[in-house]
Amino acid sequence: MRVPYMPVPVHQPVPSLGGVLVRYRPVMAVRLTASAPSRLFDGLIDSRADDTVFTDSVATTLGIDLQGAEDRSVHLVGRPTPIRIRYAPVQLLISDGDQETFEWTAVVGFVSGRLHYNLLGQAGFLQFFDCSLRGEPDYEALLAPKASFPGRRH
Amino acid sequence: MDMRVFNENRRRFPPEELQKYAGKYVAWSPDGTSIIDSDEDMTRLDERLKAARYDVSEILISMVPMEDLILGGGLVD
Repeated sequence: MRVPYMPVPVHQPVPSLGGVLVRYRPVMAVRLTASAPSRLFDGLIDSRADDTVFTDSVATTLGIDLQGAEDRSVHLVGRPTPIRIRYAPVQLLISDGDQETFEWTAVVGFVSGRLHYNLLGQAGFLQFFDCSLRGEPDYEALLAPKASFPGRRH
Repeated sequence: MDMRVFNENRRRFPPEELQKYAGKYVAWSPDGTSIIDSDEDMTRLDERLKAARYDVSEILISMVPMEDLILGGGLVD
Protein backbone atom coordinates (compact mmCIF):
# COMPACT_ATOMS: atom_id res chain seq x y z
CA MET A 1 0.00 0.00 0.00
CA ARG A 2 1.29 3.39 -0.97
CA VAL A 3 0.76 6.09 1.65
CA PRO A 4 1.63 9.60 0.44
CA TYR A 5 3.14 11.80 3.13
CA MET A 6 1.01 14.60 4.48
CA PRO A 7 2.23 18.17 3.89
CA VAL A 8 2.26 19.99 7.21
CA PRO A 9 2.64 23.77 7.34
CA VAL A 10 5.31 25.26 9.58
CA HIS A 11 5.69 28.77 10.95
CA GLN A 12 9.31 29.37 10.01
CA PRO A 13 11.47 28.29 7.07
CA VAL A 14 13.10 24.91 7.68
CA PRO A 15 16.90 25.36 7.48
CA SER A 16 17.51 21.64 7.07
CA LEU A 17 15.25 21.53 4.00
CA GLY A 18 16.48 24.61 2.18
CA GLY A 19 14.07 27.06 3.77
CA VAL A 20 10.75 25.52 2.77
CA LEU A 21 7.61 26.28 4.78
CA VAL A 22 6.22 22.79 4.80
CA ARG A 23 7.29 19.47 6.23
CA TYR A 24 6.14 16.10 4.94
CA ARG A 25 5.21 13.46 7.48
CA PRO A 26 3.97 9.85 7.18
CA VAL A 27 0.51 10.59 8.53
CA MET A 28 -2.38 8.38 7.47
CA ALA A 29 -6.03 7.84 8.23
CA VAL A 30 -6.95 4.85 10.38
CA ARG A 31 -10.47 3.62 10.95
CA LEU A 32 -10.96 2.32 14.49
CA THR A 33 -13.82 0.22 15.75
CA ALA A 34 -14.69 -1.00 19.23
CA SER A 35 -18.12 -1.14 20.83
CA ALA A 36 -19.42 2.05 19.19
CA PRO A 37 -19.63 2.71 15.43
CA SER A 38 -16.27 3.09 13.70
CA ARG A 39 -14.42 6.39 13.60
CA LEU A 40 -11.58 7.86 11.56
CA PHE A 41 -8.44 9.35 13.05
CA ASP A 42 -5.02 10.32 11.83
CA GLY A 43 -1.92 8.51 12.99
CA LEU A 44 1.79 9.04 12.45
CA ILE A 45 3.78 6.01 11.31
CA ASP A 46 6.43 6.11 14.02
CA SER A 47 9.14 3.48 14.18
CA ARG A 48 10.35 4.99 17.45
CA ALA A 49 7.10 4.27 19.27
CA ASP A 50 7.10 0.85 20.93
CA ASP A 51 3.32 0.79 21.03
CA THR A 52 0.43 2.09 18.97
CA VAL A 53 -0.99 4.91 21.05
CA PHE A 54 -4.07 7.11 20.95
CA THR A 55 -5.46 9.69 23.32
CA ASP A 56 -8.10 8.84 25.90
CA SER A 57 -10.54 10.99 23.92
CA VAL A 58 -10.33 8.51 21.08
CA ALA A 59 -11.29 5.72 23.46
CA THR A 60 -14.29 7.76 24.56
CA THR A 61 -15.54 8.24 21.01
CA LEU A 62 -15.13 4.50 20.39
CA GLY A 63 -17.17 3.61 23.45
CA ILE A 64 -14.22 1.98 25.22
CA ASP A 65 -14.39 1.91 29.00
CA LEU A 66 -10.80 2.15 30.22
CA GLN A 67 -11.70 1.69 33.86
CA GLY A 68 -10.09 -1.53 34.96
CA ALA A 69 -7.99 -1.74 31.79
CA GLU A 70 -4.48 -3.11 32.09
CA ASP A 71 -2.08 -0.24 32.47
CA ARG A 72 1.61 0.61 32.57
CA SER A 73 3.80 3.61 33.21
CA VAL A 74 5.58 4.81 30.06
CA HIS A 75 7.82 7.60 28.83
CA LEU A 76 6.71 9.77 25.94
CA VAL A 77 8.97 12.22 24.17
CA GLY A 78 8.31 15.75 25.42
CA ARG A 79 7.00 14.62 28.78
CA PRO A 80 9.39 14.97 31.73
CA THR A 81 7.74 12.31 33.85
CA PRO A 82 6.25 8.91 33.05
CA ILE A 83 2.56 8.78 32.27
CA ARG A 84 -0.06 6.09 32.54
CA ILE A 85 -1.03 4.17 29.46
CA ARG A 86 -4.08 1.93 29.45
CA TYR A 87 -4.57 -0.87 26.97
CA ALA A 88 -7.63 -2.13 25.14
CA PRO A 89 -8.31 -4.09 21.95
CA VAL A 90 -9.58 -2.27 18.88
CA GLN A 91 -10.14 -3.12 15.27
CA LEU A 92 -7.97 -1.12 12.88
CA LEU A 93 -8.58 -0.62 9.18
CA ILE A 94 -6.37 1.16 6.68
CA SER A 95 -7.14 1.65 3.02
CA ASP A 96 -5.79 3.44 -0.02
CA GLY A 97 -9.38 3.62 -1.24
CA ASP A 98 -8.33 2.03 -4.45
CA GLN A 99 -6.60 -1.33 -4.39
CA GLU A 100 -5.78 -2.38 -0.86
CA THR A 101 -7.54 -2.49 2.47
CA PHE A 102 -6.19 -4.16 5.60
CA GLU A 103 -8.20 -4.86 8.70
CA TRP A 104 -6.98 -6.39 11.95
CA THR A 105 -7.46 -6.41 15.69
CA ALA A 106 -4.75 -5.24 18.06
CA VAL A 107 -4.28 -4.18 21.63
CA VAL A 108 -3.39 -0.49 21.60
CA GLY A 109 -2.61 2.07 24.28
CA PHE A 110 -4.49 5.14 25.39
CA VAL A 111 -2.97 8.09 27.26
CA SER A 112 -4.48 11.17 28.84
CA GLY A 113 -3.56 14.53 27.41
CA ARG A 114 -3.18 15.63 23.84
CA LEU A 115 -0.76 14.05 21.41
CA HIS A 116 0.75 15.88 18.47
CA TYR A 117 -0.16 12.73 16.59
CA ASN A 118 -1.64 9.39 17.42
CA LEU A 119 1.27 7.00 17.12
CA LEU A 120 1.22 4.02 14.77
CA GLY A 121 4.09 2.24 16.48
CA GLN A 122 5.75 -1.14 16.57
CA ALA A 123 3.24 -3.19 18.54
CA GLY A 124 -0.20 -3.19 17.00
CA PHE A 125 0.81 -1.65 13.69
CA LEU A 126 4.35 -1.96 12.30
CA GLN A 127 4.67 -5.49 13.66
CA PHE A 128 2.30 -6.56 10.89
CA PHE A 129 3.90 -4.70 7.96
CA ASP A 130 7.16 -4.23 6.17
CA CYS A 131 7.45 -0.48 5.97
CA SER A 132 9.60 1.64 3.72
CA LEU A 133 9.74 5.38 4.38
CA ARG A 134 10.72 7.16 1.19
CA GLY A 135 11.81 10.78 1.43
CA GLU A 136 12.21 13.44 -1.21
CA PRO A 137 11.11 13.43 -3.97
CA ASP A 138 8.67 10.57 -3.37
CA TYR A 139 7.49 11.49 0.12
CA GLU A 140 5.56 8.30 0.63
CA ALA A 141 5.46 5.25 2.85
CA LEU A 142 5.13 1.78 1.40
CA LEU A 143 3.36 -0.76 3.56
CA ALA A 144 3.42 -4.45 2.67
CA PRO A 145 1.73 -6.96 4.97
CA LYS A 146 3.94 -9.62 6.47
CA ALA A 147 3.12 -13.27 5.91
CA SER A 148 2.09 -13.32 9.56
CA PHE A 149 -0.48 -10.54 9.09
CA PRO A 150 -3.35 -11.75 11.26
CA GLY A 151 -6.22 -9.81 9.77
CA ARG A 152 -8.21 -9.59 6.57
CA ARG A 153 -7.20 -7.97 3.34
CA HIS A 154 -9.66 -6.86 0.69
CA MET B 1 -16.45 7.69 1.77
CA ASP B 2 -13.84 7.33 -0.96
CA MET B 3 -10.49 7.28 0.83
CA ARG B 4 -8.51 7.86 -2.35
CA VAL B 5 -10.47 11.00 -3.17
CA PHE B 6 -10.33 12.12 0.45
CA ASN B 7 -6.54 11.76 0.60
CA GLU B 8 -5.99 13.53 -2.70
CA ASN B 9 -8.19 16.47 -1.75
CA ARG B 10 -6.75 16.75 1.74
CA ARG B 11 -3.21 16.87 0.45
CA ARG B 12 -4.25 19.75 -1.81
CA PHE B 13 -5.69 21.75 1.10
CA PRO B 14 -3.70 25.02 1.31
CA PRO B 15 -1.04 24.69 4.04
CA GLU B 16 -1.39 28.34 4.97
CA GLU B 17 -5.09 27.76 5.58
CA LEU B 18 -4.41 24.67 7.67
CA GLN B 19 -1.90 26.60 9.74
CA LYS B 20 -4.74 28.73 11.12
CA TYR B 21 -5.84 25.66 13.08
CA ALA B 22 -2.47 24.96 14.73
CA GLY B 23 -2.92 23.47 18.17
CA LYS B 24 -6.48 22.33 17.46
CA TYR B 25 -8.31 19.22 16.47
CA VAL B 26 -10.00 19.59 13.12
CA ALA B 27 -12.89 17.66 11.59
CA TRP B 28 -12.47 17.07 7.86
CA SER B 29 -15.38 16.90 5.46
CA PRO B 30 -15.86 13.39 4.00
CA ASP B 31 -14.41 14.50 0.65
CA GLY B 32 -11.35 16.09 2.27
CA THR B 33 -11.90 19.48 0.69
CA SER B 34 -12.78 21.45 3.81
CA ILE B 35 -12.67 21.63 7.57
CA ILE B 36 -16.11 21.39 9.12
CA ASP B 37 -15.23 22.44 12.65
CA SER B 38 -12.33 22.67 15.07
CA ASP B 39 -11.65 22.79 18.78
CA GLU B 40 -8.78 22.44 21.22
CA ASP B 41 -10.79 19.72 22.97
CA MET B 42 -11.55 16.64 20.92
CA THR B 43 -14.48 15.48 23.03
CA ARG B 44 -16.11 18.89 22.74
CA LEU B 45 -15.58 18.87 18.99
CA ASP B 46 -17.09 15.40 18.74
CA GLU B 47 -20.15 16.42 20.73
CA ARG B 48 -20.70 19.42 18.45
CA LEU B 49 -20.46 17.26 15.35
CA LYS B 50 -23.04 14.86 16.74
CA ALA B 51 -25.33 17.71 17.78
CA ALA B 52 -25.14 19.03 14.22
CA ARG B 53 -26.20 15.54 13.04
CA TYR B 54 -23.12 14.82 10.98
CA ASP B 55 -22.41 11.20 10.19
CA VAL B 56 -19.34 11.11 12.42
CA SER B 57 -18.24 7.73 11.09
CA GLU B 58 -17.38 9.51 7.83
CA ILE B 59 -15.51 12.42 9.38
CA LEU B 60 -11.80 12.21 10.10
CA ILE B 61 -10.57 13.99 13.20
CA SER B 62 -6.99 15.15 13.09
CA MET B 63 -4.67 17.25 15.22
CA VAL B 64 -2.85 20.17 13.63
CA PRO B 65 0.45 20.36 15.51
CA MET B 66 1.48 23.67 17.04
CA GLU B 67 5.21 23.10 16.83
CA ASP B 68 7.30 23.13 13.68
CA LEU B 69 9.68 20.42 14.85
CA ILE B 70 8.38 17.23 16.40
CA LEU B 71 10.64 14.38 17.33
CA GLY B 72 9.08 10.99 17.86
CA GLY B 73 5.50 12.11 18.41
CA GLY B 74 5.21 13.05 22.06
CA LEU B 75 2.73 14.83 24.22
CA VAL B 76 1.55 18.39 23.75
CA ASP B 77 1.00 18.99 27.47
